Amino acid sequence: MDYIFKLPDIGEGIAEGEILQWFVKEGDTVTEDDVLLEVQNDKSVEEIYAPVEGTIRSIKTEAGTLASVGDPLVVIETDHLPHGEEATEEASTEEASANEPAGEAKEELAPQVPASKKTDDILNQPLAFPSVRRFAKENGVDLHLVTPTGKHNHILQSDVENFLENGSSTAEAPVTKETASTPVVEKAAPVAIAKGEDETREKMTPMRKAIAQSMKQSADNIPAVTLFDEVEVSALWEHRKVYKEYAAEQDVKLSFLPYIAKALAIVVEKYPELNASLDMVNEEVVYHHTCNVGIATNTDQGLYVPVLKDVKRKGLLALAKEISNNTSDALAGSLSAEAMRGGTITITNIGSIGGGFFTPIIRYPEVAILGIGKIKEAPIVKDGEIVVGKQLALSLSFDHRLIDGALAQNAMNELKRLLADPQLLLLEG
Amino acid sequence: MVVGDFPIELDTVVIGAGPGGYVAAIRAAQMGQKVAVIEKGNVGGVCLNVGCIPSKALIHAGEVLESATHSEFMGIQTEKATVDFAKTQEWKASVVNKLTSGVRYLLKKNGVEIIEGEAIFVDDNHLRVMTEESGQSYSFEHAIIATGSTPVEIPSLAYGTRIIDSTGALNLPEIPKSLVIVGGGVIGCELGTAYAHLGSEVTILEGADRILPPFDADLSKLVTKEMEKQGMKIETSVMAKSATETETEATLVYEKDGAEHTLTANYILVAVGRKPNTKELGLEMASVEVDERGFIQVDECGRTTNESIFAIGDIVAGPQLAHKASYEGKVAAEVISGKDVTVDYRAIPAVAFTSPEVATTGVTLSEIEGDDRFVVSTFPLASNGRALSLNATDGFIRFISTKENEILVGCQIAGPSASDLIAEATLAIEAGMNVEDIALTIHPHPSLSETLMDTAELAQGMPIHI
Repeated sequence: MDYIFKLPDIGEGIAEGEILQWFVKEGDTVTEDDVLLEVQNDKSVEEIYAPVEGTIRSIKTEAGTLASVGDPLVVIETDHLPHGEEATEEASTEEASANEPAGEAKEELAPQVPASKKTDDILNQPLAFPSVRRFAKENGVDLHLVTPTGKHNHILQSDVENFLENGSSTAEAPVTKETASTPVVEKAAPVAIAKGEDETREKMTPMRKAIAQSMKQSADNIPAVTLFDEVEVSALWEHRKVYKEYAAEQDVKLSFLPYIAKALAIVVEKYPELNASLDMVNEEVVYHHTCNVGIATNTDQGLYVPVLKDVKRKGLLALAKEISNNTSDALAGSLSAEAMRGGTITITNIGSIGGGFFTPIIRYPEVAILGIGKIKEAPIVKDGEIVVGKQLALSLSFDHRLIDGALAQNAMNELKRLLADPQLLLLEG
Repeated sequence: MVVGDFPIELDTVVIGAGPGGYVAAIRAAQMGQKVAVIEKGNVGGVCLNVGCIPSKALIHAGEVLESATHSEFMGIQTEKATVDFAKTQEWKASVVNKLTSGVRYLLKKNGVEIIEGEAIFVDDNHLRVMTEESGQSYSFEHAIIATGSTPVEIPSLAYGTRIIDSTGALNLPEIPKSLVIVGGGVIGCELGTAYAHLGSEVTILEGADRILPPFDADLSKLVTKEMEKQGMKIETSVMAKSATETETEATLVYEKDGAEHTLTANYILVAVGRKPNTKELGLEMASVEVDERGFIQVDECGRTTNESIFAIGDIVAGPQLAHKASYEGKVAAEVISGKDVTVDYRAIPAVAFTSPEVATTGVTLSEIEGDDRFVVSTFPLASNGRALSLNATDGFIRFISTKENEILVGCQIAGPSASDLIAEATLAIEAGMNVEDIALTIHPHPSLSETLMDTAELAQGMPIHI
């Protein structure tokens, strides 16, 4: 019998993905858990495994095309259907023969859909009146993306309107109690750019769309402030120089990033507001007890942010190793969605390509991001004399709703103290 | 196109004036298009002429006779109730006429031209309408195919004068002494009940292990029990093999438990399903693709593989129901008129006008049985005052709601007016309401509709009436 394998839900809210490549072709035999294909969704590349053993009958979605969750990917001829699945209907035409049971083939009711799929769909469907669903459709709004404000997560017409205006709905950006003194900002709906001559147009990749959406979400929701500061890191420089060789012997590339990640994890223990999120719906501050540091990683495909989990408990070498593994996975486009989940604070580094100060965008719903510039030689005054020091540029963007300026600067000072004297990382890490 | 044949230009042409087609035509006209509807038979289609409406007339006639002769317990005696079936048929025909002329009027009122004849596509945007005498070509910007379905004919049970389809069964000249029905689906059960009430000896043969297989088992059990009480015979898990007819009766050979049996009756009604009318439309000339079963493939707007041609109703996937066809017709008409809309429903109610009536909407019990993410609440009709006063307490209302938010996702009803009561549940499902919303809505007393409020309260764990 034939089993149509559809694009499964491969991650949180990820609705579509680009088929990167197929590892099988029609006629191939596969066993369960063979890799069938690679799908790139918003920010990761997932390998999709064969759910059954059998023979590839036909490939329904070619490499290079975009598939949505539930789209048929491949037809596999198999004797073993996965639990709860049904074969595709190979029912013949309704030319009922004399040998067929005297029942009706198809009368006034829907053919039975496999219960598991149907019931899952029912439980996952957004709640909205038919007229609101139609309003959303007419305005090109996917109700799955709209934040409901009605009881039991009912989506109201005003939620769709808010989504159209703001790209999110009121629940995420509630009006503060000082509304009276807050000027109302009219936000325009996205406007198409008129077509002109001497230009070319390319469809945004899913990756670019995801980046655009998350940047806008941050800009829309977070009143961010950025602090610029410098720290003299000669000692850090020396420490790394000494232990770089040691690390290399163990096949680990030691950069400055593990030091900075470690320092940041120590800082947030003292200033937990930096490792938090704001739940404006419930008006609560969510303190994350583990410090998971995302490391923004540039690739040709776009920006990935793999997350170092529980940095406080890991040694510098372990962190260094994890960072280089993540970087090579990101460059190869094989980072898993799991590797990018769970971040609580982020480091972004443009120093490695010569950058200085900048204003990084906080990764919503995180509340802080640390920007690293290059370490440059500069004259500094030490004990009343001008000497050549090594200055590291730091840019700390923070969510001013939660973090006050003084708190942020105190945290920055703590960070500088740790980076100026790497021995402290050992003492306090 | 034939040489020398000049096509008449149309904006939108609808093929078939059944409940899908006429509704689509009116909606397209309301939205400003120049519309024509092509009908080869009678305006109103199967539904109005040989389906939903006439069958309900016969069913009602049967029920009136039944209550006239079975109401002694409340002190009502009839000396001798008789049926002048010719007059019953005449009345039924008048109901049909009233409705079909009403549809003609509505089409006219909205400026829809009715073209009589048989349509056949000649290319992507032309079709020809043939009548017995002549033919005329038309060009169109958009077409909506709404040609409906016809009863499946089993070769060894070929239709004749005594072996009949549902259309024949609706138009019998007399009440048959005996009637055998092959197929215990909605059509077979409805017509069987109607004739049993009118006095026929009725036997229903069904291939599955119960009648009304698409409905939940407890609904079909209730109906079976009532049918047997009525004196009808029901044979399940049987295979009809062949049938022959004479001038006055027909004989069916069928197999049950490996043994062959025969049954002779005045008529054998074969009601084993309906097939889409897509074969003789010249669809291949218009690049409209059909699947291996003859159903036209459409997208979520009803658009076929030809961008300017749409298809709705029985000829596309999904249940073959008039109300689904009408819904799809309106969507197609609106899409053609430039609206960005799609077919988007959460529940299609389905009804069988049996005794008692049964109805279902949204998810069924069999679809969620054993799934603890859902809650099932069943309220017996016997606890409702209005049901008692109607002497109709066999039945129940069942809600299926989500455990997490108590959102109503399915409902089954057995009992009088189930076909009307199911509408409230369908509205609630479509609107995403939860059981509290229904419980907080005042329902009129005394009425059967109170049972929905009672079921909602039962789902909340605070039922007043049980």
